Amino acid sequence: MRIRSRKKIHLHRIGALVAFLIPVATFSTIAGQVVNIFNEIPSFGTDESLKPDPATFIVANYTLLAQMAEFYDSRFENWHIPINYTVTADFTNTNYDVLTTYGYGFSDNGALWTGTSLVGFIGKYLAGVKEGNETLKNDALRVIQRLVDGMAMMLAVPNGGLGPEFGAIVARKWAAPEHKGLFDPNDYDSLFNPNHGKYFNGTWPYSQYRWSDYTSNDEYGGYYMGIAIAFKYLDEADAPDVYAKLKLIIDQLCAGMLRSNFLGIGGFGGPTGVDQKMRMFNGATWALLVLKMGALAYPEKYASVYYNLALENMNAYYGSKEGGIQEIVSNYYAFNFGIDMCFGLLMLEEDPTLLARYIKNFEDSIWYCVRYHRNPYFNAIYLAAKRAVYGSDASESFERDVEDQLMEFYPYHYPDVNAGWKLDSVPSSYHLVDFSKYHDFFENNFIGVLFAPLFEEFDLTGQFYDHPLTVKLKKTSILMWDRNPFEMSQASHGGDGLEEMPGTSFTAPYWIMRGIIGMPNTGVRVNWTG
Amino acid sequence: MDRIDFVKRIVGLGTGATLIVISVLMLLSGTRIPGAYLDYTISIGGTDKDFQLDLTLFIYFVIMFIGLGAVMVALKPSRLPDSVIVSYPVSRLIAGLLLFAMGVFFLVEYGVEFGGYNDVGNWFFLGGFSMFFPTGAFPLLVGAILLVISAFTYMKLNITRTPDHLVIDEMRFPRSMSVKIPLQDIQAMRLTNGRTGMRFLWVILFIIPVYFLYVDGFSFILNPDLYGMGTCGIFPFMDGAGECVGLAYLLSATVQLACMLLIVINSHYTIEIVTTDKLIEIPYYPINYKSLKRSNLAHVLFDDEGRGLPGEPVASIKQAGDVKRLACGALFVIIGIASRVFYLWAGEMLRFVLLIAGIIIFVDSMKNDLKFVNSRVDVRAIDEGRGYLLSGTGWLFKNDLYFQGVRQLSDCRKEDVVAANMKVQPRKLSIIDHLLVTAILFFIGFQGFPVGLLVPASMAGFMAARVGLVILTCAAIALAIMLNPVHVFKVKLGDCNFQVPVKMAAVQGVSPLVSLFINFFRKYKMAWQTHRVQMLWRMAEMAIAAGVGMLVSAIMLFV
Repeated sequence: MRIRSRKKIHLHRIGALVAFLIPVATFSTIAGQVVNIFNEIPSFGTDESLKPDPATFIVANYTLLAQMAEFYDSRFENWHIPINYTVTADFTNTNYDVLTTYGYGFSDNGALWTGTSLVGFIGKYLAGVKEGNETLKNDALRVIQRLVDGMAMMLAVPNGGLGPEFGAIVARKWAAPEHKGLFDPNDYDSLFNPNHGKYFNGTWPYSQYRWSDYTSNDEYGGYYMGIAIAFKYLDEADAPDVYAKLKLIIDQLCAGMLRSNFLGIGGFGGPTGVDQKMRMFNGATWALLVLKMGALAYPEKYASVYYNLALENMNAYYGSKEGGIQEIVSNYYAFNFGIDMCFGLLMLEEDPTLLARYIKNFEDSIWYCVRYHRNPYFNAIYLAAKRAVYGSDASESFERDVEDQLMEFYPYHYPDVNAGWKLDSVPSSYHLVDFSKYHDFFENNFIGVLFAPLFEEFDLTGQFYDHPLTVKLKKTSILMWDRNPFEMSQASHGGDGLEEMPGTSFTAPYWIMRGIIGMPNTGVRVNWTG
Repeated sequence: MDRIDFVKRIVGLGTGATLIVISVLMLLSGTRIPGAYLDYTISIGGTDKDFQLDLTLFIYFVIMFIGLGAVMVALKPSRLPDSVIVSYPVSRLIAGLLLFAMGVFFLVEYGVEFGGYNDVGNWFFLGGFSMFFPTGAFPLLVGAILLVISAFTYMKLNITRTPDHLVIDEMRFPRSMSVKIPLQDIQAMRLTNGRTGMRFLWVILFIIPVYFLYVDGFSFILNPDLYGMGTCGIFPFMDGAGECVGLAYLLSATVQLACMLLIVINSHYTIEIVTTDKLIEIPYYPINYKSLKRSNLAHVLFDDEGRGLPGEPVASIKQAGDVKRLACGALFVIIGIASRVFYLWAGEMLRFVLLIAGIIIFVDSMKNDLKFVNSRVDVRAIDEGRGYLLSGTGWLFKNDLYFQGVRQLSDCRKEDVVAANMKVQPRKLSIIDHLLVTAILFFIGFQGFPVGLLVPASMAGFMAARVGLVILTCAAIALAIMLNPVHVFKVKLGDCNFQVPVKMAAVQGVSPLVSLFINFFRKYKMAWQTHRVQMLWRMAEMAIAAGVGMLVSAIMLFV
């Protein structure tokens, strides 16, 4: 029973509101404290003090960079795409011409690295077109053809074929029966291990093939980016077969993802947990990019759906808003595949209003987190997304940053192998970040203890420098740019110098700069004022 | 209030305030209560990690709520009553049992693990939560809460009329209440079970999981080839894990939808008493046939069950069934569903609003607009026209009214009391109506802005489909809801007013269908003539909502 005075009914309402607000305000205060700590812990990685001083940059020698790119590309074509997707290679000697037994390193992120490699070679193709260099163009097209074939198989093997009638599962990696000898049978993760719960046989004509499942958004991100950039820039007249295959892949991705409602599906038939729909105004880029590709390749089939998603569903307002500051101390690699996705969308979108929105979202989210990380791949992508033209005042500091880091590859990572003895020592100005007060909070404060699972991915026991390691200070990897530049373990001086990486760490940013931005291929930087 | 009661209240107030202050201080201090935690382990990617569920925060909150409860009880008088009407929210109990049982079923079937590989699937992120979380966690939680609440909502209500007072005794946990209302102070009473009130919040709560489960469930079920042939789990007649998960999703969504409808359709009864200075509301759920039979104002006021009522019958109000809002609600739901199926017309935010508005308007219309609710309302003059009792004869939903000493009625001749107080006016809108229509128009503007601005000329058909078919249709429906003129018997008492829909007399000399059309437009004309400002305000409200939606959208896009 509720009895209220007709004259004082407003007082009753105020009283009810106050009773409601007391616990709400208390809980909000606690939540605010947790959010504050969430942002505070990784804030060392976004500090303005990290902004590099251009005066310290190496003057770019474009002739040297072009020679290095040719060297890496040649190595890549000969040794790193044995079955048309990107792998590492283990050699017996420093001539790097004889592989060890089972010498290929088949990464479980094959789709991601191949997409990144493809972007590099598309940049090379564009450079060939722009510079009127047929040799460069044909060299690029030859590799592009192989990479697109490899990526097509990543779609065909798990789903049973190519085309819109098949599903859109992307394999992390795949192999035909005749490739079995390339895989180390003793390796626990061997693709041909029939007892491994993660690997499956292919479907229908590929039922004797094997593929790696539980495909994460890392793979999808790199895969989508590679297909999107290739489709955008490849002239159909130069490679009609490749172009047709790209269109078929796009059709399959769109149709399959629409059918699964943008959920990732596993070889066991159920959802893997991967979800590419916008959630809480984040993650809008995935579905946008897939359908944007569809709208460009098959406007009659997908343009309407794309506009429904982009405009009516308003995903476009949140496009290229990816990542979060927490990845600086947790899953740094998420920045890499997040930026891959953004790159695809930013390059495909030509509407000036939407592009401006996407760039703003990008700058406010993922770019804010990584802008001072001395990452030439991210910087090159940013310049390309901004439609920067080489030599403009606005982009000069980023161009120099990219050039400085590419120049540091020589001699530290030339060839692209882990030879720790070549690396410089970490300067004494680098200090380790102190997390002790957060340890105390999560162990002794009831709010900290209660909310500790939210911080589970934070590596508070790890050792992080307060400045990012540059190329000459850190070890290489299959793609150096998805590794955390603050992590002490990246400054490893180990390695036997015989495991060769695909060189994409250099070539992807280099060819984006040269093919899309217009970086010169000879001489030295002439407008150097540093 | 006697001295003991006064002391009890002071003690309750002091205790409650102390507990609130202590809990806030402890919360601010961040102090852990020693031993008040549970250890648990989560397997993440095959590695076990140990965590503690610290209960300190919950304990502080419990202390705070006990304090708030003590303050509330201290501020209210209490007295043990006899019982006549037995009240228990059985629909809430059934919904709670169904949801809880389903939650437990999926909990047992899928477990609570996350990480690693399994043959059924994961949810939320790669190798994420088990399928219990999308299918059973929310129902389990809501079901448990409903069951706990149901355990404490048993009530007995006794309403007694003495020569000078109406005495209402209410016995429920944790307190009893009694109120004595002088009969001469009562101006109006209403007994109805046609008002859903805050229960509509259940629609907002349930629609989100129900929608997502249906969308994903159907995408699994309708595309079996997409998912291959996995192991089957709980449904052995299905072929693949995707189909099994799909069926689990659909089962969960359907049960949740059914429970939501059960809760909002089977609404409680409310007795409202308006006195010269107070507004008294008594909500209850009659649990048995006797209680149901007693749930009418004739019984409450005169202890009558259809025999020997005082006064005399003076009129009988006939109501025409009005299906306009029912159709509007259904259309909103259909547009919401179709927009998802065909990727047309509405984005997710507008779709949710359409689904929520559609269900609420449909249910509200079902309770109040249809013929079976108030097909006839008998009007009885009491005490030579100083009072009037209006008894609805509809089934399932009831709406009884009683007026006493209201000059608007007592100044009329008994025979003319209905005719003299009938008028055509825009339908009385609740705050929920305003919120829903405003939300629809806001989101039409919100999503319409980028559609109008950014769709290229080559997509003119796309524009036509959206603007012509849906945005205008939705806006027109919203306008119809806002301006819908009704012919009502209306009594106004200061800030309270009471309305009973009345069938408009047929136009003489034309067929019933033509008469229907003529009356339809006549009502708009009459409402416009007498309530022009009100109608303009309502149109302005809609236009402002759409304009604000467009403005917010523009700010978000360009700033």
